[in-house]
Amino acid sequence: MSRGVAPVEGNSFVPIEARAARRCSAPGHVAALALLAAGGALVLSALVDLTGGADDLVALMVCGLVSIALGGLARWQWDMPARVLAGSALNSSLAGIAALISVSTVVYLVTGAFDDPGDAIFESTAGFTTTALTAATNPESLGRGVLFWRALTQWIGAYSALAIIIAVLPFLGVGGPKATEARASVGASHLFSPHMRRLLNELLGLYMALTVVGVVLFLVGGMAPFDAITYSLTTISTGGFGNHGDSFAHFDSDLVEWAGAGGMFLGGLSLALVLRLLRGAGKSILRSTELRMYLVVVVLGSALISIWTAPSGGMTHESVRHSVFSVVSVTSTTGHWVADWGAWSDASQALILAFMGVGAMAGSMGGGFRIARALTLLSYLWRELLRQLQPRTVRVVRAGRTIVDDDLVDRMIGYQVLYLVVCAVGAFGLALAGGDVLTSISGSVSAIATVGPALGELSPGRGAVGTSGFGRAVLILLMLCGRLEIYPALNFVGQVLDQSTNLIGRAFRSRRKVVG
Amino acid sequence: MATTLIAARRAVLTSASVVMAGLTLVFVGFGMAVCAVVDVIGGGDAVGALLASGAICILVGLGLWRLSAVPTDIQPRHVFAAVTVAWLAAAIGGALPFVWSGLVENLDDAFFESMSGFTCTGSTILSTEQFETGSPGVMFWRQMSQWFGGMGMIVLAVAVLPFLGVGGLDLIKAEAPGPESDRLAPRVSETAKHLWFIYAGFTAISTVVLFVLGMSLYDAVGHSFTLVSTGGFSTHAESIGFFDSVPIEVAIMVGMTLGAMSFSLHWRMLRRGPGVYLKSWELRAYLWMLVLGVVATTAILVGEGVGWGDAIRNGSFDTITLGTSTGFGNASPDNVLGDFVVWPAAGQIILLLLMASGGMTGSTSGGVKVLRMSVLVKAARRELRRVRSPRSVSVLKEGRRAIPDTIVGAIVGFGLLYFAIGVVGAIVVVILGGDLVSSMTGSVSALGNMGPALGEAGPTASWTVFTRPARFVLAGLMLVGRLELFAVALTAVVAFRRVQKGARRFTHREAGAGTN
Repeated sequence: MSRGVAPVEGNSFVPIEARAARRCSAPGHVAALALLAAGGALVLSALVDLTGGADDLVALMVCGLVSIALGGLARWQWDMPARVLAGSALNSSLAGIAALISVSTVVYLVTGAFDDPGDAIFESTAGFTTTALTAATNPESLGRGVLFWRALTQWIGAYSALAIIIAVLPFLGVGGPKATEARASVGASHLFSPHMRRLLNELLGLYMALTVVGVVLFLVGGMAPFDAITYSLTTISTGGFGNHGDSFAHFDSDLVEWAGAGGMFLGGLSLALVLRLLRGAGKSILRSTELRMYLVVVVLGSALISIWTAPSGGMTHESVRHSVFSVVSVTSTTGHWVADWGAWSDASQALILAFMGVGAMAGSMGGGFRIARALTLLSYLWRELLRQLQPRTVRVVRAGRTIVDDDLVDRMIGYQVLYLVVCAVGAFGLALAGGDVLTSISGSVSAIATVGPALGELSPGRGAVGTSGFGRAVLILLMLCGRLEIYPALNFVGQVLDQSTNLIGRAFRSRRKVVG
Repeated sequence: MATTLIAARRAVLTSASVVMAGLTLVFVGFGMAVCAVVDVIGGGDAVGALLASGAICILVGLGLWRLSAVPTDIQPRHVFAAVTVAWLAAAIGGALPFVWSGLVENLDDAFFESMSGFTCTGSTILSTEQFETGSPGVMFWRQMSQWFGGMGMIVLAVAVLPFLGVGGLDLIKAEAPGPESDRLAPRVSETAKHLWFIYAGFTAISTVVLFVLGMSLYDAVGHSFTLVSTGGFSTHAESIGFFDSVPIEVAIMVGMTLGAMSFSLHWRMLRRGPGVYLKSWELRAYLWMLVLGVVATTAILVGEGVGWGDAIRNGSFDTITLGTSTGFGNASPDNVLGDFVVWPAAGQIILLLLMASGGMTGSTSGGVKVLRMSVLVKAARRELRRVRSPRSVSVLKEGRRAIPDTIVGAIVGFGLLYFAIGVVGAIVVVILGGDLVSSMTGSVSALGNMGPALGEAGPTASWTVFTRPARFVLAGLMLVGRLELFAVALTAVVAFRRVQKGARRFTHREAGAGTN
């Protein structure tokens, strides 16, 4: 306390002096945790591999043990510092995901799932960013262990992203629960305070429970146990990888498709709401404007697309099912598919693209712009409009019912502009890599929302992830930006750019001074 | 004093909107009379139609103007409504010659053409045959409507009739492009006169230049009208491609670049010399934008294997025509590349971004405007910086002046509102039956008063690719864009609220229920 650290009940961190022997580094610590988690997951995958063929058993086990060993070493090396600055918190999330992606890349290369390192990196990034873009042309040929690991990457990725939102974003004063309170202690708080740890553990439990629900749904739908588990992992996490090249269309079963739609819907649901529901506040969650919007989007969107895609004889069970499945898939930013929406009418495609852009609920496993942000944006725009009429009027911006602090609004609209800029740059990059206009724009929107399939050449089932290395690099960056809420990725780029341009900038400025 | 004189006049109606609509119609009517003269000289057969519609416009206009009076307490909402209604009246009145001369069949097509004219958009629904058979007077009216719309009819009204009793500067602000309007003289009417003086002088000079370069006098005047106003209508179906002359294209490029520069800046240059250009940071940003655009598009074209000459010619022409929101086309049978829809997608995306950006504040161009764009980019960059140091206080600057945070908020709000309206417009257009790329870019193009779009609505295409209801929506977007969102949006909001209030009063009869 005397050192200015915020007092926390059940204070668990050890004073710095006691750990003087070891170094403190938030990124290092988080990377260590990531390595440990990945190692555990790999060992689990190895065990799963036992159930079928056990071709990759040794490779997975060795990778897992090495990862655990490295993680343990790093954990021993780096402690979580008592005070974490914003930049360091951002780098921590980046370090975490980088560690995960490296491990996974090595796994894919060692097991021989992919021969090309580019493919392996792409697959790993798509996995941990919960995007349904895959470099695997034929996933059926992969062993069970690798398939399970592939699904686990998405499951872990979604939870890590949620942890970033809950643990890191409040540091920056830009969101997460209780953002305003956290802002008060910006720059001087514990990255994983006991309170946050408890919250994160609760959410992890809930996430696991939801995944089990997904498994049960799929089993009831008639999937084999292994498929049910892996598909549940990639559905509840809104990831979208499948064990089959043709995603859910492979099963060709009504029940499975409905189960899939239900699972994706759960994935796009705010976990905070689910927690409240479980605590018996069923009525109050219906008052959530965001939930209502989510329902409106899903119901209205499905209804419109059902009408537009209905075959000439009128709507059939199949056309309705496909519409609902696709709408839920893009809204929750999952990316599973049963029908090639790129072949639908233009109006349906426009809605699909719009839903991709908006994305799921805040605090869910899904990505995208988030419905809550869109609502806040609308409220803000309404205020700006009315300000023109009554310039001195004082109005508040609301996210649903909650009043949003003006400073936070300021930051939020800044974020929104950033999001658009990244989207535009991404579209330009994809176009440079050879996509047509529609493919580039929709591909950028889809990748940053961590959906995966888009429109045009990137429509589901067309299998074209872009063969050019440049296009894949652009997609990788977009996926990372989207899943990490843009800040960590761009902040890192900013740091590098700052350091390299500082010299040039200084020279430039001094010259200008001489001229002026 | 003059105000009281006007107010004392016996008036049936008290409405600023009706007064402005009447005045505008009078101007429109006189314009048509001039075109009738042109038609006589050119040997056309539309003299009767032009005279008739001119007479009707003048009579109706005079009637509306004389019968109504401006209310004594002008509120912002009156100003916004007045501008919106005046522009709608001009577009409806301006549509008459197109129908009566038999150029187009439907009133809604004529309305689209007229709206595209007055808002300086330059999208046309005319086919090649209609261009050839159109009577010279009517085609001249088409050009002239853009000339009226470029500087703005309200500005004209304020210049000619200073004693309207309406807050002149408020009106100009509501009509003029850009977030700020400069006072060029102590009196508003003087300011308006200066602006129109520059505008008319610029038109005269460009007429001479184009005439010297080989256009007929009729074409030279006609193209000057749409060049200075950055409108983009042409008397030929092939637009500038008809002449297939590099000198004319260069002259047009220079004219467009000047037209999308601030007219206040031009005025100051006349008074104080060219030094004022160097001091304007917005001008620097605007020129940088064009230069970068030209370099990028040229490089992309060269990369596709186009020869340097053709690449530079088309890269620069199309960058400038879209970066200034003009929309001339230079495609001809000998110069196929002028039709930029055949370009690689990366080039098209650059053009799309330019379409959204537009020219400088206080110019005749459309779009978001360079000033706002650069504030948006700066806000995004500040957001990135703030993430690293959450407590930092940073001020955005334009040149050396700081921009107050409220203005930054308003500008970012404008940018996001612009984006939102563009997206909603695109979705509505696509639902009403358009192809996805054409509709998305058509919405951007209409909102930015550009003219051509991508996809099927490219520079050589007629906008008949959109369905009739969709064209109506696009015409609406043009008006929304030309009046910079707020006027139209707020008129709609006020009207909606009035209806809502009425409905509330109707349903809740309790005392006081309807008074808040």
